[in-house]
Amino acid sequence: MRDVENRQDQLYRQAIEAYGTALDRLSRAYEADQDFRQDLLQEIHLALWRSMSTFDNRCSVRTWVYRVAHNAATSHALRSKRAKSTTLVSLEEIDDPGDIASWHETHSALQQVQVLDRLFALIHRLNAIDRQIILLYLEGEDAASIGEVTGISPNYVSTKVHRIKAILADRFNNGGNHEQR
Amino acid sequence: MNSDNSSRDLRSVWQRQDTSSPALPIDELRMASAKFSRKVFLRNIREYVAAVIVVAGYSYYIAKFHNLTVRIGSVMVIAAALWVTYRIYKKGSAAKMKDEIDGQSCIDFHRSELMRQHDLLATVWSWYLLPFTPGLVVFLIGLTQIALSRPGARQHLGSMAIGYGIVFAACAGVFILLGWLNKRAARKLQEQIGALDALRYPPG
Repeated sequence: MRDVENRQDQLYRQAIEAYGTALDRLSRAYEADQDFRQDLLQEIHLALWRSMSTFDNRCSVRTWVYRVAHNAATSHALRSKRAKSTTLVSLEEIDDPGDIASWHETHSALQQVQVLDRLFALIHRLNAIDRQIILLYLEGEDAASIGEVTGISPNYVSTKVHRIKAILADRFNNGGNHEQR
Repeated sequence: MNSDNSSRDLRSVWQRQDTSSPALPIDELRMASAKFSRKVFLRNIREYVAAVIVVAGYSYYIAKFHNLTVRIGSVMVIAAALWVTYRIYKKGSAAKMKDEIDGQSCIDFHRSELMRQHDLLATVWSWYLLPFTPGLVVFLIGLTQIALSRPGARQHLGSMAIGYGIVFAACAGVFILLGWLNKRAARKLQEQIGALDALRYPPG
């Protein structure tokens, strides 16, 4: 019993050491409100620690951590009355003129904080699946890894990643051009 | 700047955010875990407490009223409460929140959560409401018989009929409305579940 607890605690600590900052970013991407974000982050830590008692190496620790974290965040969102009242869209629907204008209107240099603000605004509008895909993509995962975490077919992930690149390039390039003027 | 370069830059900006999330103390996690388990236990108990209240209430009616129809109706309501409790015990409540969040794929987890909500909505009418309907109808008929047996009741027959008619119609209306709303919500959830299924990793 003590050995199981030690293993669970150790796996949790190792996972947080490796992916703790990614989990913090993930909680920001799921929850815009500061107070609720802290709750969500604690829920993710708790879910991860509890889950480590059943971790059996059938997948990598990284895949396991991302799965548990996204599942905890999805559960949080499904329970949230605020989230239920928000209409979420897919990546294909995000290209409305109003949205593009809001990205183009920055005439000053695109500061990192502005980029991130707008990136979070974009992510907060996305439905669960597309949010998971874009977050994993931003964390540097490739299509195969994203497919493994989400359970979505790799072909579909590739299509989505292509779409994400196009959206991000459009917004980032326009900001970059302004910067060069 | 092409899309690959700009995406790479943006990923770099994303990953360089000023974030930190140190491991929580294990004792704190143990306490939070125990609190969570208590919450799950109390939620499960709540469903059985509701049944105990119904059984106690209608047992009181059996003792209080000597009218056979009221007693039969009360027994039927008690039987319905026990039947519903047995179903909850056997199958587990569809309303239960997820006790454990494990490492299943995101789409499987999301699907199971939507399925749980769907099952609750689709079955709440037949599971929770329908079993009580015959007993409540018989019980109300019994109360009507008692009211009619009182001296001078015949003089107010019209107003009594209207009163009981309104009660019956209101109950039927609420049941039908609930059933319709639930079916509609369940259909929407089924569409979401279907959309998730279309994205699944191919088997094998």
